[in-house]
Amino acid sequence: MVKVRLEGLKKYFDKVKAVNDIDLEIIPGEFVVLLGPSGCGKTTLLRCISGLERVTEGKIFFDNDNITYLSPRDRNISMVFQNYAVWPHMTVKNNIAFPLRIKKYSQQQIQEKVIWVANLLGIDNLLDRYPAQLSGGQRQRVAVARAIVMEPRVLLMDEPLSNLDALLRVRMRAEIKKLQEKLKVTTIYVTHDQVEAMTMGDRIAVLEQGIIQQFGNSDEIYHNPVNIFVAGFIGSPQMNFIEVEIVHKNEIFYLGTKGLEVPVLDILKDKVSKLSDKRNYILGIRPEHIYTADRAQTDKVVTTKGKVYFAELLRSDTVIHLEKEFGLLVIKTPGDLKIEEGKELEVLIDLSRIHLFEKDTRKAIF
Amino acid sequence: MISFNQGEKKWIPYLLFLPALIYLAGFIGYPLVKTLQLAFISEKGKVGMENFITLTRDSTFWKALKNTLYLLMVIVPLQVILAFLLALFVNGRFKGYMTVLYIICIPLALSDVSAALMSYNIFTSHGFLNKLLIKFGFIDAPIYFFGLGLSSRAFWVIVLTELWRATPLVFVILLASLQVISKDYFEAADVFGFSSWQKFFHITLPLTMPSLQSALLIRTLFAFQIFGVVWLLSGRDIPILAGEVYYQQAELSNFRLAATYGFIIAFICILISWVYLTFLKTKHSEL
Amino acid sequence: MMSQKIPIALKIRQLVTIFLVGIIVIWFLSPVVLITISAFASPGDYYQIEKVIPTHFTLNQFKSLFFGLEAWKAILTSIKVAGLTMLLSFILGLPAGYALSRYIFPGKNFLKLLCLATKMLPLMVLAVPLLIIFMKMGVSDTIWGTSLAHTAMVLPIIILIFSSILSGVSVDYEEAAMIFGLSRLHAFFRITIPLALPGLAASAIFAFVLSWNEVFVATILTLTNRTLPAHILKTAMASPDYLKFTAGFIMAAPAMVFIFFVRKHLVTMWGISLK
Repeated sequence: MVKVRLEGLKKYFDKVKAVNDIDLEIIPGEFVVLLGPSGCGKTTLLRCISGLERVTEGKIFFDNDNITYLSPRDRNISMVFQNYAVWPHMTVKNNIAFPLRIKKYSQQQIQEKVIWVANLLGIDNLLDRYPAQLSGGQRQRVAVARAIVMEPRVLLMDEPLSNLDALLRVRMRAEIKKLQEKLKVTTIYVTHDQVEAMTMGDRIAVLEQGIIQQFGNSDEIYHNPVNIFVAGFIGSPQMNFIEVEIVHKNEIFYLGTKGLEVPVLDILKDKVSKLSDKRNYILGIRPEHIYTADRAQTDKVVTTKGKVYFAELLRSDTVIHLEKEFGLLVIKTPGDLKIEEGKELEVLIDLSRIHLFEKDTRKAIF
Repeated sequence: MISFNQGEKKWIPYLLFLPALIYLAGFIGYPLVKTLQLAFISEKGKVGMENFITLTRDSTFWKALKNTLYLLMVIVPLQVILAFLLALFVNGRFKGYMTVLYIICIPLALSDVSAALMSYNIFTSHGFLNKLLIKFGFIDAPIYFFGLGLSSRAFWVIVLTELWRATPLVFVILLASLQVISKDYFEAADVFGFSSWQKFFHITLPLTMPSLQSALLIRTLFAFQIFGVVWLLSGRDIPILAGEVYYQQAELSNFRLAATYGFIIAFICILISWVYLTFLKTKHSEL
Repeated sequence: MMSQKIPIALKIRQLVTIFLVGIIVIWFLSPVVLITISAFASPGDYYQIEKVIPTHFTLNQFKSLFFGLEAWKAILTSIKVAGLTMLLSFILGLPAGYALSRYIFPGKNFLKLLCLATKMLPLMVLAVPLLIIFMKMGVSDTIWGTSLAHTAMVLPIIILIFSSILSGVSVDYEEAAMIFGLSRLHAFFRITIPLALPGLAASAIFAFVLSWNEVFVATILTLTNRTLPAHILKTAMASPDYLKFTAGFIMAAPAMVFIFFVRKHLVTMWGISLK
């Protein structure tokens, strides 16, 4: 178990700032997910940590060792590649044994370790096959086995599940997480899939434009997004964003626009009253925090009405698009609702779940 | 391709390329300079066009130039058309097309010398063609294709031999480009009800145009280098530019005139490449 | 919809295909088959004008060609020259091809263009000055001289072919090896080379065949150490016809066998070398 620390890490490709001044501290044994859309720099960051890319500026520490300028093979890391990179000219057994051979383990040790890891991943019956004879899922297991067999200080994974079909992906998600908990190896996992991030990561670093937007556990990321990017990237369907002004009436602050007036709860009152500018704010509310009249979970709500523009009947959930003066308001409610398009519908916005962002800085006020 | 070396020492790729570059500079670059020296400096050491003047006073030069161009104009269009038809046919992927592909490619493995000998084997006085024609009573005495005063017959044998030998070169380029055309385009065309002709003219032809052009260029350039076949089948009865380089060099040991001939060939080749590249570039070829 | 028509149309198509295949095969194969027959036919049969297909076969032509005309020496020279050319172009071409396939660097496109541009240059231009240079270097009329010239001819093509073959091996394999404890150089030799081996072997054969077949430079550069094509060009045309055919056969046979082994790579290889 090793602590990983990044200090002011930068990686530029000519003018493109792929990784732009990143500080990050990962505690020993932690499972950290780097999450972001494609091109956000998450893979580049991982490759910097692996040593496959040399950083432009900054330092990388494993515990107290500065490994910034070590070559990959001297870092004592291992990696699962997106395309697995299981060597096609070696059998499964040789693929797994390869890192051990290079580290000059004895024949007996190699044998033991290969068997141990093969059993762990349930590929003990595939050891003599060549990768071409394996399915995608099996190849993926071999890639994982190869990565953990030498008990690396840090395990790096680059979208390892993205090439699997949906069912297998769900299963491997759980398996990799359990495996990591068992091995207690510090793990850095890159993905663009928020479900993977939320279910697997002890902590999640949300990246955009080479910068870590927020670093925290799934609770913090979901409930307290620090800016519009994180709020919009996490959650599905996406959070509703509505441009609002602050109105002060009868000792109560309202966040209002045409056709909607949302009162601010007392506990948030201080934060709003401090704002000098009354315009240019964005109200955020997640679709799952707007309820239909019969399903209200709290009485701290505000009611709003609109015509049903479109309803996605997923049967397990229902997603309703409501026509409002400011655009469409998306509501997600559990269960199979009978909704008619074109009909008026009344919905309740949960006041304790609203977010407010500054429009210019895109930062969260609450 | 991903570069996983970014930030690694920047000179590494140059170092890797350097030996090859030095070699090419030494054995292609330097000889080129030497050719210029030889071509532009006369025997008496004067810099100028003297060698060229000597050359153009010789009627063989003009014959060689004429013959080379004549061969080129007959062979190249025929070859490109034939190769295109062949490529379209083989790209149909009928059963056993790989075998046909291999058979078509056999001439690629052969030198011009053996190709010439093969055609000599067919067309000589006791060759298969004459024997066959006599056997079936078409003729009584063998037809002679080679020899003094028969250079117009030999010319057509050379054309046939070159067609046989070098059509596969063009074929391979065109087939490669046909193979990368996505099936989707044709399926989309099917959906929109294109006829086979429309598919050919609106999809196949435009998409293979860049390769067609580069095949045309390559063939034109290679046509200036035709040597073995002509030399073996007709000697100097049909003088050609490349043959004259050889003749001046190997038979007369006249380095200067040989180099001058060489320079003229190179000059024409570069000129043609330039014309092709400037005027025949299709818009989507850079995709 | 047209289920009635399809079978007939299909049949016609099939027949046309078979017919065309027949013509293609005859056109491309017959010169090769015929020279093989003539190579072994007895001279008596050859000079009998009414005998289309010979019935008496002999190895005498081979004997007189090999020993009388010393073709064995030329064959040996050819093999040495082609082998050396192959070796040189590998040693120089592999790192260069690797640089083109794995690195992005300023000037890369220029180098690629340079390799392509050399093909615009006719060999005739190089042959004359090369002879002068080799005379100065003291390698004129030697195996080395011819191989050096052939390498200059083959190298640019080989670099481009290597680059394409190595690009075909995913960078991931090499990177994985580096992660798991190999240096870049070791990763190249233990992972990339084995994976690229079929393609590399095919290119080796390709280089060999190019050199084996080249006649112009070989003839100009040598007097006594002639390669087989050069030897034939100089001597065979002055010998009786039946010896020419045998010579043609000897030259063609190994090349065809080589090509048979690399048939899978045919289209890619020549596609690159001609583009």
